[in-house]
Parts: sequence; C-alpha cells; structure tokens
Amino acid sequence: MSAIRQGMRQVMAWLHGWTGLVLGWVLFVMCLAGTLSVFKPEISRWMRPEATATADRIDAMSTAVAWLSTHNRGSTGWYLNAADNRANIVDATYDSDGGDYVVRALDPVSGMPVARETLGGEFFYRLHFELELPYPWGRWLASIAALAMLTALVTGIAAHRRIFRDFFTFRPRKGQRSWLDGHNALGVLALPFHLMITFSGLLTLASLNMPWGIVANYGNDLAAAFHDLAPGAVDRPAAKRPAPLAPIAPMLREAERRFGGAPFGRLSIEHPGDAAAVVTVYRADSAQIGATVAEVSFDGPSGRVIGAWAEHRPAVQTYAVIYGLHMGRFASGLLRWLYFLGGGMLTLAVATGMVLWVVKRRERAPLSLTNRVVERLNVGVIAGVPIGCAAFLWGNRLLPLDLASRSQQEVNIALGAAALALIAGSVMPPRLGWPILLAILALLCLGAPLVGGGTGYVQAALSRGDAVLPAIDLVLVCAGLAVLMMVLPVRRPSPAASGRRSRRLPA
Amino acid sequence: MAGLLQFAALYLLAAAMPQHRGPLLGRWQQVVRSQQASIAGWALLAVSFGLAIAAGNPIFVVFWLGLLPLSCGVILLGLSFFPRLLHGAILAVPLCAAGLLLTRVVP
Repeated sequence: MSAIRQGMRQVMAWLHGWTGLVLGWVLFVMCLAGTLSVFKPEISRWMRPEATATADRIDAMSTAVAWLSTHNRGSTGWYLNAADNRANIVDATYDSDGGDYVVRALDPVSGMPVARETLGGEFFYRLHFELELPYPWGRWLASIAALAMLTALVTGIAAHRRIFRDFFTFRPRKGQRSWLDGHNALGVLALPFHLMITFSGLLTLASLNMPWGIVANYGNDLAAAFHDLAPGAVDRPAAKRPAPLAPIAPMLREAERRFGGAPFGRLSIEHPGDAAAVVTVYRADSAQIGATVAEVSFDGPSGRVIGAWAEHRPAVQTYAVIYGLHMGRFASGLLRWLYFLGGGMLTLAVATGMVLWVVKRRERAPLSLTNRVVERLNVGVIAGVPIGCAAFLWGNRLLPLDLASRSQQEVNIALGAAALALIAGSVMPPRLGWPILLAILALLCLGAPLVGGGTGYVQAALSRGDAVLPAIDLVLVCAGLAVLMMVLPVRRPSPAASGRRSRRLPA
Repeated sequence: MAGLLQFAALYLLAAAMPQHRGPLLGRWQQVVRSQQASIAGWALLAVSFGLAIAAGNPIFVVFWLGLLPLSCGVILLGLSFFPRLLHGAILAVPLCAAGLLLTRVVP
C-alpha cells in the first residue's frame, strides 16, 4: 500500500514538474497579465493623465453618443462601455464607411477622443488570454496552458507530502528548502483562489477547446447558436433611410428602471443614423457576481422600447456565475485587492516553481545542457516579461501625443523590451543575468511615476483629489523596492552556492 | 467580523502545530494544549465561515475565501520574520471584534 502511495506521489510530482516546466513561461505571462488586469480601468486612468474630467454615467454616455452622431458616418455599429466609479471615460468601439473598427476613449464632458491614444489596461487584459498572438492561436495556447495549470495544481496537491503540517512553514535562507517552502506556501495558502481562477478561466475558453456541443447542435450556423444564447436580442436589417437618433438619456433611465435600479454598463447602437437603428442597453456586470445578461432594446429614431430580456436559464446562469467569478467585475474595494493578491501569489508560485526546477537539479549535480537553457530562459522570462510591462508604461509617458498609431507603438515598445530582456537573459550567465535584469526592472518600476513629466502628474492628481494615479505610483514604487530587495540577496549567496556545488563535485 | 475570527482561528490552528507552538504561544504553552487549540481553531473557523454565509449576500463567501491567503500569509510571514508583531495582532483581534460589536449595538 505504502509502496503504491510512494509511487503515486512520485508520478504526480513528475507530472507536476513537467506540466509546469513545459508551459510555465506562458503561464507566467498569463498570470502576471491577468493580475494586472484586475485593475484594468485604474491602469487606463494612469495611462491617460490628461483625461481628468468626470461626469455622471448617463451624462457621459449622452455626450459620447452626441459626439459620435456628429463625427462618425457610415458605421455599422457603435459599442460603448459606460463610465463608472472606476473608469472616467466612455470606451467606444466603432467603424466608419466600411473601414476597420477603432477603439477610442471618449472624454465624459466634451465627448471627444482623449489626447493620449493608448490601449491602457486593455493591453494587459488582451495579453492575458490572447498573448499577442493572432486569433485563434493565442487563445488556443492560453487554454492549453490553463489546462496544464489545472493539471499542475491537482498533481501539486497530490505530490505535496505535508500539506497540513507545513501549512505555515517558511524557512528562509536555506537554498532549495526555502524555494520549496515558498513555492508551497504561495500555492497552498491561496489554493481555493488558484483552483477557482484556473477552472473558471478554462471555462471562459471552453467553446474553443470543446466546440463539439455547438457543432453537433448547430453545425456551422453560428448565428443560430448566438441567437439561442441571447433569444431576446433585437436584430433587424438597416432600412437604408437616414433618421436622427432620439435623445439617449431617457432610454438609459428607462433601462435602469427595468433593471430594478441596477446601473447600465454597456450600450450598443446598430446602424446608427439609420431609420432602423437599434439601441440596446445592457446591465452592468458589477451589479452582481454572475455576469448574467439583462438588456433592453429601443427603436433608435423614436426611443420606444422594442424588446427587453434577461437571462434566467439555470445552465446559462451557472456559466455566467463562473465567468463572473473569473472576471471579478463585481469585486470592489478590499475584495478587488484580494483578487490582486491571489493573482500575484499564483504568478509567484509559477515563477518559484520554475526556479525550483533548476535549483533542485543544481544541488544534486552540475546542470545538464538542457537545464542550463531552462535556467537562462527563466532569467529572460521571469525578469523580462515584467520589464516589458514596465516599458509599456514608460512608452506611454514618453511617446509624442500626436504620433501615428500611437497605441500600437506602445505595444511595440513593450514587446521589444521584453524580447531584448529575453535575449539578454539567454546570453548572459544567470549569475550576472538575474541581478542585472532585476535591477533594470526595479529602476523601470521606480522611474515610471516620474518619467515624462516629473512629479507633475501626481501633483495634479493630488490637487484635484484623485487617488487612483498616486495609488498606482505607490504600487509601482513598492514593486520596485521589493525587486531591489530581491537583487541584493541574489547577488550575495551566488558565490556560496557555486562554492557548495564545487565542493560536492569530487564526492 | 468574520475576517477577524478567521484570523484568530488560523492562529490557533497554527499554534496547535508542534513546530509553531513555541513562537506563537510563548508562556501560554503550559496553559493551552495542542488539542484544545486545534479544536478551538476549527470551531472558530467554522463560526467565521457561518457568519459569512449568514450575511446573506454570496459576495461575503467569496470575500471569506479571498481573505484566506491574506490571513495565512500574515501568519506565515510573521512566524518567519516578526513573531512579536503577530502576538500584537492576535491580542488586537478581541479588541477590534469588541469594537465592531459595539458599533453594531450602540448606534
């Protein structure tokens, strides 16, 4: 019996190691980006320091629609996310005259696109599940990585010999022992969160992983599938006759009345400016845990209600609750920070796991060639990806405001910086690579609040009583200091570690 | 409230473990036996989770689960680096709880 159990533990530990190793770097990117996405609207605010105006969500939406009505022609649809107590701008996606869709942040008071064209926190959100790869490859890779994560979590639990006895144990400065303790603590203490976020994340991409249910029922008729998912949605063809849009504010108020006082979160206008325009108002996801759909549709020119619908089917609602738990849009205040903490712990659990793979093998024997490659890739990814994220913030502050396709240039800077760091980490010996790259990361974090405008931004924010920008500055400074503290011990024990290795070699 | 109880419960559970008894309990080691601490810890944990459920809104259950890594993390880091601070924190728990109860009852 015990032989079987020992054997099982070994098999589980083997699987845990390999699933973690093969997709660990991808998982690290996903976990880091996902953790940052928890504060997506706040990061967007930080990245648009000129957009300081705030307005009531209905007023902001009315001015946004008014601006689009006068400045946008020949669009097939406007898709607008409301300003709320977290985002101060209206986030608009629209096309014009058969062109591509563009995304713009509209000022809540003037309705005009704000000066600093940037993806903001949306970059991290997209990176989290699309990994900057073309559709569907990014999502495929993300869902395979999520599957590996779930495997790694379950096998990790099975392989952990003293899950309860070592629950509160951390023994610092003991080489492999400390890495293992840290990895265990990061994994075990937030285990409910890790399991929830991995499983729910996997489920959000389930239609990509397991399309067979949809294919068996609908074949290639995806329109029919979408219609059944949202049976109350109003969809009608354009009339090809122009007609002005009725005032939007009364429609928004009527919709909120029908939501039982819950705020609206999104608005879509199909065929704007056409006689058959349809205005659909959606309830905000922040109103409840589950991201269940509730919508009211209006006839554009008259403002009459032509459809109202809320999701009540148990299966769809179950999915909506799981999806809502993953997105965490309902979470405010402390709970949002706890999401951030859980995500941060998962990110660090992945990182420590990757480091542990190398440390464990180094303490037994000199590293094989493959493991030396792993060691260097660890340096490049674990230090390089955060460097890319910080460089993204620097790009936001440094690029000229009137640069063409500015938001794409910011992304290029982020990817370029991460790629450079990855190359540097692979070329340099890890003993130099770790401290150098981590020191660069710390400097980037510490410098981000000041670059491009000195203390001007934070002073302006403080003088108008805006806490978001200073809070993010503070988090950046704390992150920078934490990384700096890591650099110092990383540099000191490395001669000792190599000394121990050489002492063991002759034996 | 549930959060405070959760922290106290986890503290007791940690104090029930042989390797953490010394730093967590100090002179109280002679008074509190491992088994007592363990039973009290699990009971408090159950009560705090019950409070989260009884609050009515499912958001509090999510909250309770989200607080777990925070409470455990504080105990773990405290045990490794600053056990003194941890003593202060656990002594503050009944005071905070009493304060919270007072604000509920008095207004």
